[in-house]
Amino acid sequence: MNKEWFNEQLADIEVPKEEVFAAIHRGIVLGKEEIKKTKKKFKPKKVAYIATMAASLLFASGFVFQPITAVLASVPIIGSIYENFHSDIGKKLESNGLVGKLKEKATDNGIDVTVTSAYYDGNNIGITFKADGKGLSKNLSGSTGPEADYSLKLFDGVEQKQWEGSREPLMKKGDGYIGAMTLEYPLKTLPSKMNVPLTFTYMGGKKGNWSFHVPVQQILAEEITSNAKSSSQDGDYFFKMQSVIKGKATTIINYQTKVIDEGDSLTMRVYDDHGKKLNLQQVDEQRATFKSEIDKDTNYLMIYPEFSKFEDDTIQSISVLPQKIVSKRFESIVNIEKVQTKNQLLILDYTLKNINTSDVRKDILQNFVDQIKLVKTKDTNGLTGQDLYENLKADSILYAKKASVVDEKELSYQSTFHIEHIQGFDYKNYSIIVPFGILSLNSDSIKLDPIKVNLKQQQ
Amino acid sequence: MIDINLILDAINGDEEAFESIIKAESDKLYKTAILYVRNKEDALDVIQETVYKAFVSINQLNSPEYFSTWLIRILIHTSYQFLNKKNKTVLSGDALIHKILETNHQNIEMEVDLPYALSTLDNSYQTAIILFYYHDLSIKSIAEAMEKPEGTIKTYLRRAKVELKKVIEGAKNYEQRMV
Repeated sequence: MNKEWFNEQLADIEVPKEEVFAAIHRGIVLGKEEIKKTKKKFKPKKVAYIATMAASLLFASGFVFQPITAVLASVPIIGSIYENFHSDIGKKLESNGLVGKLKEKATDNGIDVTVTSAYYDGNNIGITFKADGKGLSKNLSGSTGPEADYSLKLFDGVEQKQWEGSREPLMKKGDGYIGAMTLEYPLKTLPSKMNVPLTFTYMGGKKGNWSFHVPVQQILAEEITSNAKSSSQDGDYFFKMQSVIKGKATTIINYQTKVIDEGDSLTMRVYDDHGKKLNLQQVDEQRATFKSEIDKDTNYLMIYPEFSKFEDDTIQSISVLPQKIVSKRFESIVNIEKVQTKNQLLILDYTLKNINTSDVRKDILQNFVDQIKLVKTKDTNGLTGQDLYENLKADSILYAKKASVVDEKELSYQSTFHIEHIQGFDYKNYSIIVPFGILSLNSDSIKLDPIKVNLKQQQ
Repeated sequence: MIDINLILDAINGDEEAFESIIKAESDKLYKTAILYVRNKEDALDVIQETVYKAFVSINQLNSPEYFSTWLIRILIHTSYQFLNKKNKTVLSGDALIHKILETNHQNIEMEVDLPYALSTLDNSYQTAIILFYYHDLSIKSIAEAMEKPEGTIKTYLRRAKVELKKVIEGAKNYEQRMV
């Protein structure tokens, strides 16, 4: 066994690019939410479709706009549109003849963009297109590069109106390029048909304006209602089913939830009666979407809801010692025992209390203590969370060098901070920031009893 | 190699820059996740969680040149956490049946021997091997990433290779006997 052998083995693993990009996108959306939580908690997501080109490119000028020619073909096509793409939903629908072929064309700056197909299943809208013409750059990074080589906007481009989605990089095809994207319809009530107002603003090396109203019609889906529910023992959290929408390649679960704190988040695992896991796309406050369909012979689904508790950073002055910092929602405590300055360093000694080490992994604990920071008390102005970080000056916060373990059994730690750049440093002017949220997000999740949803109830 | 300026932009809160540097690492993220969790859906979950963690904490990355190592460390921690969670859940009744079915399902779907072979190793051996062979980290960097002395890492690698060899050759022998 050597490096070559290892890499050969790895080369065999196929990377589902589109799904990986979608997972990355979801991670970013979750991250953004996490950061925004102090402002807007547990609200349905309405996050912008992330364009890979700079926003200034959206404002194209001096373009020549030509009328769009639109032909909606009524006959579904078989087997060619999605063969070049990774979209599993697109492939599945196409093999069932459920992707509508289109031929809508718009021309600008010597580039023709044609929307070639569209589908609408569950809340997923898939659109494919091709670009050709003399204006196209021949040297796009394509699938090897990190950028998608095109930008787009929905409606007038206002951020609040953009939908989430994922897209595949442009792919060379003949003299032009082809591309595919999936958009997620954001509202809970899904219209049976609509025109998606889509404008490409950058295509294959050139900015421009290629506008479309892509006609889509929802593929007929079966809706099964259910009022099954599950709640935590103390009744603080509950999950109540409303309906399951069986799409041809996707699934939607609608429900109601109750959480104790607005920052708390929900996740879930869903299996069918054969043990097949549905491929989760996104969880919102009242709706979860899945990128897989429910098999025909499925009698019931098992839903495992799980809530993660959230807690903002606790900020507390260290001017008086010892200092006890107590988590607002949990039992956890940080006891600061000693602060000393030595050789241009501030050394903080502290012990963690009321932490069940069998519940919290070692690396999570290490991450938690590594993220303990100091902040100039007068700069905090009573702010917390993201508001605090956004309003701080660059030199307000001191980040610790790695925290070291003093006594593993007692959970005693020592964090060291560089203070050589601060004139007249006095720790009494500082507060400690304790990220209790790291512990709460990684432990203490509230697992509700699984919920069984019968899919064949009216017989 | 990712443009260091893009990483700096991402650290300073530029979301587009963040997305592009993550996408530049996406193949490595996916393949590393597969080595730990051994199936596509879980690997995608791990990536999502990793990106989420990276997004909320990238402003704390002090040295942009360590971005890749930092990101992969988050991924590995997340994978461990994921596997741990899966193993810890106590199941009964319907849930237990699902678990059994799911496990069988995964085995059928397993495409390559490598993730399986790696999964038989101790966590530390597994990580040392992945960082050394796949992420091209030096013994010194692995020692830093895993917070262990260099000598320990060398021992991990040596033992891991011996054990991997046993698993892989064992599988080959089994195949031959089947023929």
